[in-house]
Amino acid sequence: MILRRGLKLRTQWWLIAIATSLLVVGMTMDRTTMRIDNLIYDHLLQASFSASSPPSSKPIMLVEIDDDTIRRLGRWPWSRATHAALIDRLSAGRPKAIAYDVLFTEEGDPNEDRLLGQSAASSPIFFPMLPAVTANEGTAPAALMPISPIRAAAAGVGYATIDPDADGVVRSATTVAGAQGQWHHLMGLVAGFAAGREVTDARARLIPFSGGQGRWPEVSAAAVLAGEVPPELLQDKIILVGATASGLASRYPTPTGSVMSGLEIEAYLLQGLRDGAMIRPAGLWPCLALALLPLWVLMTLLGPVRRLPALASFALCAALVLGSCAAALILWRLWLPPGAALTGLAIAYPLWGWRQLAVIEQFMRVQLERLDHEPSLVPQAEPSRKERGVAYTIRLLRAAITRDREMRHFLTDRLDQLPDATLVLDLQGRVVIANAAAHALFTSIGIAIDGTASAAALLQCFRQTGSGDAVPFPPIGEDPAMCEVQVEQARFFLIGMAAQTSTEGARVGWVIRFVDISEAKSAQRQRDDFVQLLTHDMRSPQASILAVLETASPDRISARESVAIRHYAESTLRLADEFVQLARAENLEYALEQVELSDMLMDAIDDLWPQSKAKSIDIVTRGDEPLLVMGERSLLTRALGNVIGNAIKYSPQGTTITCTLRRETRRDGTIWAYCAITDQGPGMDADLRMTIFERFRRGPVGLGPKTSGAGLGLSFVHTVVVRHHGEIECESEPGRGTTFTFSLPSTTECDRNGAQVS
Amino acid sequence: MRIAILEDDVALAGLVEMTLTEAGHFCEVFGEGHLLTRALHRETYDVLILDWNVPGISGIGILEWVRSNLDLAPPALMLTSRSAEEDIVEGLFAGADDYVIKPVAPAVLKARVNALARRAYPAALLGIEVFGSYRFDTRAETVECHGELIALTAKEFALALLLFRNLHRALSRAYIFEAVWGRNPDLPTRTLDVHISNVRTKLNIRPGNGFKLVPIYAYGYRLEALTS
Repeated sequence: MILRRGLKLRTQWWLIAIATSLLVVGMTMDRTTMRIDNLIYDHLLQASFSASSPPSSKPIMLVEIDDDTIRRLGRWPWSRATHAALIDRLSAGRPKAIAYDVLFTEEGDPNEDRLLGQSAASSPIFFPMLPAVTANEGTAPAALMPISPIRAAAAGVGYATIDPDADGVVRSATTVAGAQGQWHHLMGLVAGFAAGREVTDARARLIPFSGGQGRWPEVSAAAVLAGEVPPELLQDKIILVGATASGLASRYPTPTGSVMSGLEIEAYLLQGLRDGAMIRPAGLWPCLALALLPLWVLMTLLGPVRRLPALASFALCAALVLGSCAAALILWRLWLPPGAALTGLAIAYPLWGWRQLAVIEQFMRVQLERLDHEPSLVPQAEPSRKERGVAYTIRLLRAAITRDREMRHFLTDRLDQLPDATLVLDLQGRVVIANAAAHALFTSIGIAIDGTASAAALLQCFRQTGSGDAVPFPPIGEDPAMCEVQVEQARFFLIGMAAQTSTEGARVGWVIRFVDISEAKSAQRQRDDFVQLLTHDMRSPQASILAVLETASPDRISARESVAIRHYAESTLRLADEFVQLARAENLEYALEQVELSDMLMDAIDDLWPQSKAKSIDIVTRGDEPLLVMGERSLLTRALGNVIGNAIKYSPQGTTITCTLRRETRRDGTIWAYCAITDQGPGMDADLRMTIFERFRRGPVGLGPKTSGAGLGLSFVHTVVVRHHGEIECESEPGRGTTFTFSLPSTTECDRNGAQVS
Repeated sequence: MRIAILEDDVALAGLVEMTLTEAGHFCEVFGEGHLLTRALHRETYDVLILDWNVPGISGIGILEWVRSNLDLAPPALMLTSRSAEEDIVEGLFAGADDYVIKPVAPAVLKARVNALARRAYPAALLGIEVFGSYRFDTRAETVECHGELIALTAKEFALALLLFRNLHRALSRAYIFEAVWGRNPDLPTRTLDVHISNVRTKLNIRPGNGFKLVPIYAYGYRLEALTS
């Protein structure tokens, strides 16, 4: 599922990147984004000239044929004599060059034309022409040159056309025209003359407007004619003469935001050409590079190399575009249109975001649908009908959230119902959930479980039973860890700690359970006290009674009474012993070892030697096969002794007790050791035989010879054998003797060879 | 010998004192533990007979006190009503040289005390040693029973002699191992049981011959001579 989603997203990434790239290339090639480009260009230009100090405007001066001049000199067009007079006046100031932007293309009065030619020859003066004029319908356009006297006198002739862009704003000028490039712009000629070299570059055609309107020093033509302008003001200046009067000349909007006369625009063009500051529009390849590079950077940052937030990546790329564009314009006078690049970014960013959202939504829906159909612990609403659309996903999500909430409620509820105090902790040991019993427990100790409670602090009030050590958290050793602790005087708890893992198997926290074992401990202590009472406190006075009998002189206590007292004291001692042994057989933790059954049998027989000898009973052992069993030697020996002791007790004088040892392999392959103890006593009836292993059950008094015993002996035997996973059987018939058969699981390994180690 | 008896029960203390005095020993009875430790500061005793539960310092406490306070600890015998196997082991490991459960027959007590004394103050014994019907020749490493030669391996002979020489004394498994096989024997623990079993069978150490071999829970063995 994850793989498929990844693959899907990757394909979409490539699709978006390639489609947007193609779009951007198309926009760059056919300049779709020109309006955006122009807007950015205008603002950048304004920003650049307002930031930098403008170059000196001193060498250029405008002589305007303005409204004032028209008012003072009369109607336009003037006679050529007036123009000649103006040129004479200007030449008197010895200017560096004059660009006289008035067309003299038609023949006029020959005298006046000649006069104008003479005047024009007096200083370097440049005249405009028209490069391509269609004179008559159907003829090829041809250049329209000034009249011959002017052409002869002029320092240069060039065209002075102003070409506004499609939006009417004047940004550029064509510096070279004509089929062979034979015509130059008037300002190009003037600038070349002033600089003394060729300055025209056909590619650099954007005018570097470095200021607004009214930047150039200007005088009115009327003022010059009237001699109001001192000649030294004109000295070494490049003088542009042209019409600005309303009605005579057009005014054009410029990137600077202000509307300028053609004369002013030409002044900027002149300055740009003279300073070599003309701006060159970039070619197709740089434009494509600018458009595509940031786009792929953005796609990389959004897709494979995710280092930044998406919005930051987008802002970074846009800034990269605008920054490189501004830097190229200001530092290298190169215009890179950023419009296509910005449009590409603006398309790719939301497109990619939308596709991601769509994939996530689909993934979420599939997961939620699956979750919706999984069995839940809590009762849930019917699964929603499968549909499409966001509303359906929202419904699924709402169901999932409800389910999660129910789940949590269910969990805390069940935890609260647990009888034992239970804490659920996170990895750092902070309490995540504490059930009602836990709250009750810790409140009784005097600690409130609040949001900041930690396991380390809570466990501090407990001390391990015996050692008195604190409870370590997290637990050391096996999992789950158990330890017995004490709090206050008589409250005991069994603490169990278990690590919790997530569905993936990572460790996520701990669960601690406190089981109150105070009652069990108290019962255990009572039993221990009871056994202690029997083993010592009850035995001691009996031992003292026997000691008194031993030391008393025979004339104080008669021998008959002494024997009776001794008998009862010994009976009490035996009862205590039997009880202690039974308690031990029931409660002792057996330390099992390999032990030979025949050795234990021999021990038991030797222990009973005084009794058997007293009754002249012969105890015979048959079978000397080694029979190793895993057992607790003292208990098994005592069990054998109890059975043999009973046999001696109930057998008549001079009989024989036979102990038979044998080995047998059972049907399931296990090897068992058997020890059968057969006496020649009176035997038992079936009823008695069924109950002999119960406590305080003993042979009937009066049936056989007088016997002593407390009746715990066979209970002990039964307990020991059962705890050794063995069996004990009793076969008996009245008058035919009794056979007790021990069967114990035998270990197969017999290292009788150990005897040869010497 | 000078024997100190720690016993708070007057009747029993009287019996022990009477028995041992008859056997020719000098006895002193203490009813409380700290009275005995005070006496041990100024007096020397050859054997201590200690009850477990007494006022003041208990018998076990006395054993610990003796071990840490006296340069030459006298042999000690626990005489107590505590009959559980665990208690016997605890007493022996605390430093008691023997452990006797009340009530005790005077003859047994006498034999046990003599065994203790013989071990602590051994007489020079060489050559032929006789124990009841058994006759050990320690040079030839042979043993006879009722005049009949019994074939034993070297280890079995050493083990048998060790048991007879320490009559009535509880011997720990580690002690027997060290005495017969030397230090750190890399042997299975069953080895000792097997040898004991062999010695017992070959020498026929059974009550009928006047001797009884007693295994001691989780501790070791003791050979007893029957008195009657």
